[in-house]
Amino acid sequence: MATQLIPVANLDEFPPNGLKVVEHGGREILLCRSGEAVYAVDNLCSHAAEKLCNGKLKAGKIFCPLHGAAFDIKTGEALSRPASVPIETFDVSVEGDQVLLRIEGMD
Amino acid sequence: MPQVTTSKRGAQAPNNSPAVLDASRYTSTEFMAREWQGVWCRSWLFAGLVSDVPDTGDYFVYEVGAESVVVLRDEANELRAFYNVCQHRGNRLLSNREGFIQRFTCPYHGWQYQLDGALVEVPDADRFGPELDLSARGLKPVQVAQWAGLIWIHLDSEAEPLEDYLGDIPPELAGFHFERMVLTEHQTVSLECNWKTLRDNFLEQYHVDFIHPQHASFVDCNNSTNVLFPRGHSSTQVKGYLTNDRYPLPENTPAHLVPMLQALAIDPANFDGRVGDIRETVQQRKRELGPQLGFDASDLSDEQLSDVWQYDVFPNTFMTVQAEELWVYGPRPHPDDPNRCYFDLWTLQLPVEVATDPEKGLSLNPRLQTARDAPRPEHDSFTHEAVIAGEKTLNITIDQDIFYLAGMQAGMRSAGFDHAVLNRDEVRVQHFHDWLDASLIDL
Repeated sequence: MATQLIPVANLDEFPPNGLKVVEHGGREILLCRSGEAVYAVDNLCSHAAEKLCNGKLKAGKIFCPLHGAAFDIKTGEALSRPASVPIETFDVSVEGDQVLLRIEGMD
Repeated sequence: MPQVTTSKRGAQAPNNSPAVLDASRYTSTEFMAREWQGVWCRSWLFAGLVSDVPDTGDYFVYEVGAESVVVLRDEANELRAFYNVCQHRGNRLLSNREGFIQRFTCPYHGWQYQLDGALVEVPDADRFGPELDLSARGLKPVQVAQWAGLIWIHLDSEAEPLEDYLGDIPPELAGFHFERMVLTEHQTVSLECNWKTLRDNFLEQYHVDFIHPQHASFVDCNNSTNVLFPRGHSSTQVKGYLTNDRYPLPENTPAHLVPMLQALAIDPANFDGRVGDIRETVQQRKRELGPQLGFDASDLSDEQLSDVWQYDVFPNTFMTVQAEELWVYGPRPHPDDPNRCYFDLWTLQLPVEVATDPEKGLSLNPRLQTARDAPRPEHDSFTHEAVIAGEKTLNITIDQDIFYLAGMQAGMRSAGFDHAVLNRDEVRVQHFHDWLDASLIDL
């Protein structure tokens, strides 16, 4: 099982408490910068498939613009209706200015 | 001895006799129901911070008793507040405590409202027939107003303006410029006591020597100046950087003040044998040092640079104010149990950029640690048991209060207790309850 660390963004591409969409493997991943930390989640709301990048990051949660559902950016947990299904999260790390996406088990 | 004065604009509640603090006002559901109508539906209530709703679509939810109110910024950049209730069948619209929406969408059947409250989308509207009038089914508004970065709501659409309600308090506090402070902590603790049991605690300093012995070495609670305002509001001024004069003056600078003086580049040893001079020296030093650090102290008096000021806005908002820090705190009633309440504490401070110089080791107050663009702290909610177990803390003073509040409530539910007796230092407690009684007089 190989582990890959893939550079996907630089910190100067999005402000503190800001968002950035990156693509990997044909899907959109939403990078969420919360203070010094960066988290990554699926860019689609689990309720009505709206793009979460059009929403807003507040207090460690991403809010869907369409119906206001909230997801925990660390765990992907659906925190409010109408969403009830979690969104996928991804492992990311920051080295210097670079944001690295950690992909397990891919060749 | 504590001093008591009344505001020039007349402070007497329109009662014929002083309120009697009998046990039932803290324990009875009937009294609680009258309070809902007479107090909570007729008062301006502190609900949250302007800094939490900076942009269109930002919102937070304020809960008081059984009510839930949404405060948001609309498309025109104005603050608005609505009951958090769908006009279809009464479902709660928003379940988060804060967030962002482009429209309100009821999570039950998907009715949608604009940020101005207008109902604009009803799925399968033809099923309702022609009698459904969207314009008559907008969200029910709640009054909202702001002062110095603090947002207040009022459930009565006929309420007097917030400015009139607060009276002399905003002008007295204007020099502190709360709007330049940042939120550093936001906590809610559920308590096993009536909301007024908690309030009474913060309206007197009679308990301070016994419950908070640490205070004697840095504030003089024995010589507080208490002011009674109209509408049940009040304030107290406690001299800071000074020891309680009931006790012998210490020979050396008390330990609590040492790091505070050092941060101001004052040598604590200079005050050996003259600890009583610290307060005035600190006032002068803050006035010199403040502008060097980026802090404009020109609107503050010398007393405001050194002392602790507590203002109480009826019915449930306390503000403990110092030049560098503001606590906004108070209880919200439980929806239906008079023996429970929720206690909120918001801590705001000057950001480090305008009050410290880390390279030189200078700070107007060593407690200041937060940068202006730091992420908003998470709203932390916990039980009073967690505080007593030492797992959570508000601050040492409030923790000490929380430790005995459940016992106060338990005692008031006992047949062995009739009614309270108050002393001169508890005059603000009486003032609050007099106004409370006046609020209930027609109910």
